Amino acid sequence: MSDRIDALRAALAADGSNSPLRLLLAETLAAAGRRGEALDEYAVLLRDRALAGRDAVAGARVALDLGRLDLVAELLGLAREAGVTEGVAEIQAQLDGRLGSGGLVPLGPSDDDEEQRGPGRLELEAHERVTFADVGGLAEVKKAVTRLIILPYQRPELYLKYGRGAGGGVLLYGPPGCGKTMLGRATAGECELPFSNVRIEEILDPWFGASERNLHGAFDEARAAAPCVLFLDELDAIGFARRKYVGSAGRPLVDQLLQELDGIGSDNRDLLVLGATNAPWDVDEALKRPGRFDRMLFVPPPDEPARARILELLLAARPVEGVDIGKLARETRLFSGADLRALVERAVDEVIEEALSTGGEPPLAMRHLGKVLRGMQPSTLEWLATARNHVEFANEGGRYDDVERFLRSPEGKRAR
Amino acid sequence: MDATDRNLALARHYLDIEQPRRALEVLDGREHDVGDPEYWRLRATALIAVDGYREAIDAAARGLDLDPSDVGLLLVSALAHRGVGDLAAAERALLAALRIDPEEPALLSQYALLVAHAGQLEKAHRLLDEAERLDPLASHVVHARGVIAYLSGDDDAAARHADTVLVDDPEEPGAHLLRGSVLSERGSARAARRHFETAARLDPGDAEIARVARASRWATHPLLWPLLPIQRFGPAKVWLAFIALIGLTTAAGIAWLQGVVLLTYLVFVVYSWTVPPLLRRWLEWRAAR
Amino acid sequence: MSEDLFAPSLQDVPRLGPPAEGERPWRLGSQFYVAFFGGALAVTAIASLNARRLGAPKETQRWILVLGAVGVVASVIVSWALFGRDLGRSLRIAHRVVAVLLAGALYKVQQRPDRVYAFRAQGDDDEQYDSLWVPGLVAALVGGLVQVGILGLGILALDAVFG
Repeated sequence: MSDRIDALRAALAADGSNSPLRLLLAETLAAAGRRGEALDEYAVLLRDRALAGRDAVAGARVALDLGRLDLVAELLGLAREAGVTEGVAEIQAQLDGRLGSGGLVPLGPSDDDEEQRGPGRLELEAHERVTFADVGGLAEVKKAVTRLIILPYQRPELYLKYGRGAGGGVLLYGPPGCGKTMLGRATAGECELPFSNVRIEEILDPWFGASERNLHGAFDEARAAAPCVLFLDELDAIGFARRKYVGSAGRPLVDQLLQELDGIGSDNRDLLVLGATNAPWDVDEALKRPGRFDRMLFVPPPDEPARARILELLLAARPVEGVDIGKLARETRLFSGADLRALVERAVDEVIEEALSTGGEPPLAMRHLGKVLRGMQPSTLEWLATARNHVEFANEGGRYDDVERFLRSPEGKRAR
Repeated sequence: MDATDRNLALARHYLDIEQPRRALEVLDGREHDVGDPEYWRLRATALIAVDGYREAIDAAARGLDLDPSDVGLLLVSALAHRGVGDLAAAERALLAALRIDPEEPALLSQYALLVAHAGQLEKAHRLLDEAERLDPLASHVVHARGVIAYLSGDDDAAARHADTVLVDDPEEPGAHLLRGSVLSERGSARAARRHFETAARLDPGDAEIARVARASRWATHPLLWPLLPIQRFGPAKVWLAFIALIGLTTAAGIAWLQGVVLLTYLVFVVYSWTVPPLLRRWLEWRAAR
Repeated sequence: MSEDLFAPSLQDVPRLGPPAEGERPWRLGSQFYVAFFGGALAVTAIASLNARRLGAPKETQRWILVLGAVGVVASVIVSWALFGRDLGRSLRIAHRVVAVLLAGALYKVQQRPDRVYAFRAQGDDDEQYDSLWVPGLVAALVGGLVQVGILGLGILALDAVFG
């Protein structure tokens, strides 16, 4: 056997890029009990993405035996990408067991704060009964969310009658500050369900394996409180496209998310899943497949009526005089809700400055708002410029047709 | 493990997923240990990604005050100085990094690209020779080779290097951009356009690639087909061909043919002068309408 | 590894920045128009100014002047050799041929600094390059007139010596 291994090594030295030869060497080393060396070869094949699904599973077994949990997760991810299921669940369960039983590889000096952390940190947020009525504009998006998420929950028998099963999530995407999270809350409000907002900052942990555990914990909490709306904010941060990752650190988190969405080993019934992102093009493709986030809804900047409504709400509790909301709404094309809030806040700063210098208490007037508006640009322009490139060059399949229609609209043309 | 470590991990994660603005929000808005050079390195890296070069210079300097031998900080300092056009300061930072780690191919590649900015292409070649000796398979070295070859006017070598990168990674936008540039120089406008559009499809977030891809569409517009000879053969040959035709018709004494050639030539000159810029403006206006 | 590889070579390089409008280089391909209509002298003047705008090394700028001088002399010699004292045909054909060939050579010489310039600069072509319309026209007119004088005098001189 060792002669054979030597011969394979010699051949590989002459042709280092021969992946089938390297795979043969890895298998031979593993069969000879030289698992450490075998794993080195599997690691090279993994780096070069030159492993078929079944071979990745074999590599994962070797890695698991040697306690190289990072490689196990990566190899399983590769196997899943290739559509292989045999052996995957079994190895994943063993991996989970190792991670769950404290098999974490510490990166820091101390375990002291380990007791204070764990997957149970995420709290279900009691929604404030925000409903669609509290979200200005976005009629089409609300209709779509109702059809895709709310009605299947409220009228399951109707959908079953027509052979439409449950499951699958909706991904809301669009420029920042345009109400995606608010829509998520409103969906929970419409259904009168708890709202679980899962954010990357609550998931991410530099300890090896802890991010995946936190994510699993968040899902388990939501399942325990089901029926529940589970909202994955900044989905691109949790589920960033694995092919774009330069290193391998973030990929296991994506694998974990896929597993949670598939409900492997768990029950996702009555879990209404919504996702939101400013960068749908950065979300891993596997997350956009059927049964996961296969329905994408574009949430555009608020239109004129919506901007008027938002401005009304923002100005409601303040002393104002002579503010023409209609005119303001017309002059704030492409402003996001966050931009409008910033506009009002800065105008209030102007009023306070004036109050301090004059000694009076002037109301907020058009001149304050106009002055601030002259120095402001919509924050959505940068997003729309990037989106335009995606529409122009990377819209095969028509995935971003909604954005294209918006960019062609009178409102959207201002973005050019 | 405390909050500052987690905040730093979050900022690092945002940089990994190409979201520098979100990284900056975390770095600016949360608790951090400003005595940690890593904080300043991440901050400088994020600032460079959003073209905030002057602030990046300051951030890198703060980090280097804490640890003058941090190679990562020296590299981002170099990139930031290059961003503001201060090649001398960029070189000082890179050389400081190379004194610490003289056999790091990535540093050698960056130095090669830096001297290329100043037109010192021979030195760039020698630096890449050294980088290649240390890591022959590194794609960033091969790609840098291609760029330097193109700048040197060696289009064949540039094409070869671009193709080498593409064999390894067919979805490398930089290699498609380089391949497209070479094809464009050689007059193969359609093939160039395919590569530019591929690069744009692979990296739509890059404004410069998108601009080049759009320009390549204008270059292959049917209204510019009469100018294909200039693209294909180059201006010198086309001009000389016309002069030769005029000379031949003159020598042959065929006055009417000479008139036709002269008229065609005049129309061609006016067309090549006026139509490309007008077409571009018209297409831009139509897109904005 | 040779020592001089890590010897600083950029310490005397001035700070780079986007040139203001009116100081930007011109597109290389446009110089052929100047050559055709203005002659060797005109295109040499434009190429020389362009090389400075591109920040080309002194050696490149010298080559341009040398090639230009050769081009002017060549246009006189070729014109006389082909058409003798026929200044009309010399101007219509011979000196144009030489000028366009010279423009080709100057294109090659400027190609490297032009590519380096484009590599540094970013943005639309309109933002990187100035229009050659006005300076090209001026160069063609002035250079062309001077070229006519040089051609005429040169042809006469050659005729006197060798004719």
